[in-house]
This record gives sequence, C-alpha cells and structure tokens, in this order.
Amino acid sequence: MADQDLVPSDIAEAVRRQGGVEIIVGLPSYNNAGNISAVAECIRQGLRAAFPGRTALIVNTDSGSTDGTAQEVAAVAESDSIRLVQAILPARDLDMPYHGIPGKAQGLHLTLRIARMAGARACIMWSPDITPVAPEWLGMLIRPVVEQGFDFAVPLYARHKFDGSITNGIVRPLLRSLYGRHMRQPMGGEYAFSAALVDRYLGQNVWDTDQARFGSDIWTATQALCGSFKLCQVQLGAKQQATSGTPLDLGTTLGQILGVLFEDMMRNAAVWQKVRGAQPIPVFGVAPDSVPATVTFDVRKLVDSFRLGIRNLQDLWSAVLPPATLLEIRRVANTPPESFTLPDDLWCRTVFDFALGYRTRSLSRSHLLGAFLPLYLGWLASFVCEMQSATHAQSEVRLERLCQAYEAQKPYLISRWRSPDRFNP
Amino acid sequence: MWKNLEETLGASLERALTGLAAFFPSLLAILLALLLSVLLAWMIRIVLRRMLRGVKFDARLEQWGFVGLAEISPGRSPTRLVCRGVTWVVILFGLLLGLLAVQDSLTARVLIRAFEFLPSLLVALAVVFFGSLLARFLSRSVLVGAVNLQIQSARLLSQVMKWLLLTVTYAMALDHLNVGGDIVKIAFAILFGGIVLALALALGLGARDIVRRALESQTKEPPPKEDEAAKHL
Repeated sequence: MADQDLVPSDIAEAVRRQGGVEIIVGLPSYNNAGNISAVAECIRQGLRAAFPGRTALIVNTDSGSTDGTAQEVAAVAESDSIRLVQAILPARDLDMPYHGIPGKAQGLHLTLRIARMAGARACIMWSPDITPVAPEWLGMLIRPVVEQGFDFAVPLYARHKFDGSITNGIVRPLLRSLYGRHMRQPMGGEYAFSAALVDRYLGQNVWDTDQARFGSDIWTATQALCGSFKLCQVQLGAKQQATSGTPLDLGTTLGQILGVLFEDMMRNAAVWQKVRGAQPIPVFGVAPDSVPATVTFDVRKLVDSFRLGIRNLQDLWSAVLPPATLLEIRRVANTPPESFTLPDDLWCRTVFDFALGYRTRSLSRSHLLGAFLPLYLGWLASFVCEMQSATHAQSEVRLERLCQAYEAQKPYLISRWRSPDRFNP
Repeated sequence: MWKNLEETLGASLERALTGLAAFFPSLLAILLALLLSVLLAWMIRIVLRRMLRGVKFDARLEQWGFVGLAEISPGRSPTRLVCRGVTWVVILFGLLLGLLAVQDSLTARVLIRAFEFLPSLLVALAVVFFGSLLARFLSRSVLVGAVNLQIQSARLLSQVMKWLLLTVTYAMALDHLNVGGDIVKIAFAILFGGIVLALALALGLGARDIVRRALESQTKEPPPKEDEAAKHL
C-alpha cells in the first residue's frame, strides 16, 4: 500500500499544501502536558534558527493523552515554512514501555511514512519530556544529516559517571562488540536520520513486535549500526527527563531493554558474527562545561541484592550459565562490599550467556530477563565501588576497558552461538 | 510306552498348531491394525506439524504463558511434543483395536474396561501435566519477582505457591478419577482451609501493624514515586 493511503488524509493534505518538506520532526507524546508546549516551542525556534527558509513539518503523534497534551501542542504557533500536524493514535498497548510513551513505535512508523511521502531529506525524533532544552540542540543534532551527508546522528549528553549504568555496563559495550562501531549513548531518545534510513526502517517487519513497542530507540540505532551508514555523535549539554506518568520498576525496565537487545542479536546474527574490532564514530561539538546532576548508589544495598539473587536464583541461572561461570559468581559473592569486584571477563560472559539462553529458550524468557537483575546490580556495585573516587575522565577510561573486554570475549559468544549445546566450558 | 509318549506329544503338537492356526488370524489382525495405525499416525503427524507450524504454535504458546512446555519438549519445541503425543495415542489406539480382535473373552473384557477408563485417565493426566507446568511457572515467577523486590523469604513464598497449586491439581485429578471418593474432597478442604486459616492467623497476629499501615495508606494520596529506573538508563 502506498504511503499516501496509510497517512491520515488531513496530514497528507497539509503536506501537499506545503509543497514538499525538507525536514520532519517527530514528537511523540503521552500525558506530557506540563512540558510539551515548551518543547514544541523550542523545536520551532530551533528549526527557524538553524534552517531559516527551509520547509519543516512537526509531526506530533499522541498516544491518547488524558491531560490535554494534544491541545497544548496544537496551541504552538506555526509559520509558512514550519507547520505542525497532529495524529491521535489508538490506544493499543497495555504494557508501559521503559521510556514512558506507549505508542512511540506507532508514532515513529507514521512519522516515517509521512517523511517518505513528503520526500524529506532528514528526520529527527525528539522526546517530549526533555528538560531543560536549548533551541540550538535540535539544529546541532540534525545539521550533520542535512548538510554533511551523515545518515544517523545521536546526541552525547553530559552525564554523571554513575548515570546511565545500564547503557554503560550493557548496551554500549554490547553494541560496540557486536557491530564494531563505538556509539556511546545509543538510547538517548533523540536522534536524526537521513532519507536512506527512512527507507530501511520502513522496510523492516518489526512494527507489531515487542522489539518496536518497547525499544524503538535501540532498534533504530542497531539498524543504523548494521548497515553501511555514516554515523556521528553530537555533544550536547546535560539533559534531564521530566517525570510523566508512573515510572516503571528497575526489573521491568532492564527486562525490556535486554529483550530488545537479544531480539536484535537474533535478527542480526549473520551481520555481527562477521564483525571484528571496533571503529570510532566521529564526534561533533565540544563537551559542555555544565555539571550533570550527581547520581549516588548505596554499594552495600547493591551487594545485598546480588547476594539475595545468589541465594535464591541459582537454579534458574544454572539453566543459562555454564558451571564454571556460576562457580566464579559464587566466589565473587563471598567478597566483602568494600572490595567487591566482578571481573570484566566474567561479566561479559554472563551477558553473552543470557543472550544465548534467550535465543535457545533454555528458560522462560520472562524468567530469564527477570533473573538478570541481581547480576546487573552486582556489576553496578563493583563499578561504583571501584570508581567511587574517580574523576569523569578516569571512569571513561574504565568504561573503555570494559568495552575492550566485551570485544575480547566475542569469540566466546560466537562459539556458543554457533554450537550452543556442544560448547559448555 | 514310546507309543503313548509319541501320541501325547503328537496330540500336544496338534493342539499347539491348532491353537496357533486359530490365533493366526487374530495375530494378523493385530499386526494389520498396528501397521495401519502407524501409517495413519505418520500421516496425521505430518499434517499436524504443518498446521501447528503454520499457526506459529510455539510462539503463541509462549505468548499465552505456557512457557514451561517448551522446557520439557524435545528440541524445546511444543509442536514436536504435541506431534509425538498424538502419534503415540494413534498407535496405541490401533494396538488396542488389534488386541480386541483376539478371541479371548476375558482379555477382551479387561481391555474394554481399560479402554473405557482411558478417557478419564487421559483427562486426569492432562490435569496433572498442565497443573504441574502452571505450578512450576508461577512459582518461578513469584521467586524472580520476590528477589527483585528484595524480599528475603522469596524461596518460601515461591514454594508455598507451588505446593498450593500442586495440591489443587492432584485433588482435581483424583476427584476426576473417582479415586478415594469423598475422602479426597474432605482432606483437600481441611488442608486448604487449614492453610488459609494459618495464613490469616499469621497475618493477624504477626503483621497487624503492617496491615493497618497498608490500609491507611490506601485512603491517603500516595506520595510521588521516585523514578529509580531513570538513572540507570
């Protein structure tokens, strides 16, 4: 079916009236009334400042907000070159994704169709809960795509050394070892991409899967990493998320992210098994001086959670982890919290083993993903313990070492992936 | 004497040969029924496997929560398990039909009785099978959930869940088979009632304050929940 037939008629008419659109800004929303008008206004100002005279379309896809979000967006002023269209998506998802917008994938799908129908050169997806947002950020992020021929641009936000530990401990090193490109913050929530990637995204049959529902941000990044696309990262400032709705617990959040990552690994196995080493991705802009908010963790609590997992979940872990790995984990649990250390190679193998367990269904997938939380908290305890007095630069060096450990353990992953039953050291 | 012995042996050989000759058609019938049932089972298996693969049976079962089935299935595929199960049921059915052809009224009567009992037995076995799967799945869910909520007695909770479900399952299966009559029902009612009473007493005596606070908190506006997960992303 043609894109024109799948796009709501009022939006198709608005695109036709504008006579072609160069830039599309996707703005999904769900109960963001407190923040959305400031964000939408910021987008408008950012577009006007960065690309004066160029035609742009802001596409707000609302997942059935009940707090007047759609009306707040509709009140944002338009101009001849910058138009705004809105689509209210049918509420379908019962499970809330970790990013807090239930219909985000549907919104992305519609935005991509509009982009292809309008023949847009570049697209940018923007979070509705980002605060404070500077108008120039949007231009900084999309400029490499519009003016320098890049296909995918992700932001680099200034973050505290302990902020984003799922990203730092799992997502970033795993994606780097799999696809050989060093993307530091692949789950930023904001990203810009080219028309070539619009075609690629629309060509994938994932839109009704959990992969899209829960992790469209990760999926879009891995699609860009898989192909021969030009990628870049852009230094922005310190970002904060405005809270909207009921936040999910950590176990659910981690389970959703791991589920998306492991599904991606299964889909792209033919690609990542051929990749060796990792190449840097160019970074634009300079690191900001702004100080990110401090994030703290209680190491003793984290270690206690890890030990509680050891006491109760070993039966489940033994369905996924080889005996030698399980033995090492038990040994780690006996160390006191002050000197608690989970070796990098052990951590990498554990993540890889869980990915394999997910693939072979050696355990129910919901149980497997849930049983990972104590292990993650163990890694976090080890990282916090080691980096307690480290500077930001030192923690970056440490994370680089972790990424290299993932790369070093990749042959182990490939061996087990190819012969899951035979290779069990 | 030799003549007598020869006559006796000849008579017994004749009886054996006559018996064998009389049994031969029945044996042929058994073998034929078995052969036909194997052929039928083979064809049903092929058709069933294609149908189940067509409707993505394995994936759907996982969506519906029957994930434990994959763990005990050959090759982790419930489709294979179902196909094998149906195959063996058809073969068994064929074998039974063949055995019924044996001209022995006592054997036939025993087999017919066994055959009549078979549906109830199969249903009871199915109840035990699915009940055990459900108990295993839910006890693991409780265990994982309780550990992630930092509940120290996670294993105890999980075991309680498992044995409650298994007790209900076995009581249902025995009741279906009419084994034990009312004793099973009464024993189950006493056991289950006892457990609920014990839990109620434990909660009432040991956790009065916690329950009071929990009920009070229901009537108040809940404090804004901190987004703990956000800092991990």
